[in-house]
Amino acid sequence: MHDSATTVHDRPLSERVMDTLDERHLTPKPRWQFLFHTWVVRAVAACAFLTGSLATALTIYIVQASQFMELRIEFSRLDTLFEIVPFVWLCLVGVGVFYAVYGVRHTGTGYRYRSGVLVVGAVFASVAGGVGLHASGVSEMIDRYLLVTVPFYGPMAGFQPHHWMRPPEGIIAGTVTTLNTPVQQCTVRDLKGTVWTVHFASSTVQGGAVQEGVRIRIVGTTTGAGVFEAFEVRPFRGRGGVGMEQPLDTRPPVVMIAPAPSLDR
Amino acid sequence: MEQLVNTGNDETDETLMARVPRERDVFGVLIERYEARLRRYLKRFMPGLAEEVDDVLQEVFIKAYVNAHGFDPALSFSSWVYRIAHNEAVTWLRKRKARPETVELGDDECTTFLVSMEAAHETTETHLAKDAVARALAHMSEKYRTVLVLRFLEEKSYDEIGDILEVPGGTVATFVHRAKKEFSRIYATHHAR
Repeated sequence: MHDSATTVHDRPLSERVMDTLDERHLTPKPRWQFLFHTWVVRAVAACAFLTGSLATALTIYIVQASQFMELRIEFSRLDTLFEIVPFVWLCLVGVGVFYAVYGVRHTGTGYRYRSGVLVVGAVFASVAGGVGLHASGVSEMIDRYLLVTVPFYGPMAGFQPHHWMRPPEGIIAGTVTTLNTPVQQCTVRDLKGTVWTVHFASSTVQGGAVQEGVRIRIVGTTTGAGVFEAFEVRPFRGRGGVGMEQPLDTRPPVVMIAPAPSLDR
Repeated sequence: MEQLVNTGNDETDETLMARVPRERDVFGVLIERYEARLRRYLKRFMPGLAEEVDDVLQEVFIKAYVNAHGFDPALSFSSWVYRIAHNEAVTWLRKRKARPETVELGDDECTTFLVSMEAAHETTETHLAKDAVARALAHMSEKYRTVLVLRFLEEKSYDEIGDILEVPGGTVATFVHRAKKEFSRIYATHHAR
């Protein structure tokens, strides 16, 4: 082995390499294999960017739609914060950023960028894309679709309408069912289906909120059984608000069907 | 060989590499240009394994040829082929779980290296320090040894080292700083013996 190796190594390396290439029938790998790899990595980065942007858009929409600031002021509770933050989307932002960085790093000369720069760049790109998608209304569309079609989505994505159902604390939300303008009174079916008589003569009404069929939030005080004195009436936009006027606990009635009598006789 | 290959010495490595998939013989010119440099580099990685260095070197050029279409023109051919050589050497060392006892070093290189490490003042007899330097390098962690060899023995720039090791240039600077510290510590131990 050693002797033969010595003999072989007496020849120029270039000759030996060429002979080995012939012996092993080696040729350059086709260009498409490298292009395929490049495009797969780019596709991963692009999908990650899209995921990060969508998740950011949903996060922006949900936080905005939850009227986070008002909740914080009115409830001042840390557990409320944890309930309304859409962790599922925030996690997806993280996943998007991670794979975007991974993709860029494995593309051509992507390793030349520091990890910190790539992470900041990916976060910035996700936020920019997310703001754009949010502005175009995509986030609201997706959120509504998921709230309606995916049963476990709501609690996972910070959908907590019960925060607006606290009559003892002076807050209710629901849909205006009847309106008596002369006496400044209306009836409101709240998110759980309970009907309230609401007096709003001495209240501030924002955005022309009190109209039949419109979903509103009311700040005030209960003055009797099923009677509410409003201090402020606001339109209820966003999650569980306008466009989602069905009571949350309304379910199609369960119809029990008796088994048909047997005709075997 | 040169009669068959239509190339002059003025053609860049990158230009030649672009021709390799169509004209295999051009690759022979690149082998001749890089054989000595890569052999020296590999010897510093695989001291005591001289026979294997030759086999590794052959594999390096075979891999470079087979992956010719994967050569990124954004890189220099030098960085690209050094990267292949480095990865191949690391793979061979890990397979054999071999750890070098010493690193090959010329007298002049030893002096230059010690000056670079700001350790020259510790000795007036550089030739006596040569063994200590070689052993200290061999006992360094693979990552830091690689960086010092590339920077001070192969005289590569930070950007070139970054391209070879696939890390940012700024990170190379950090590695060099830490590697110098590690070297000084180990060198002091070995030189004291």
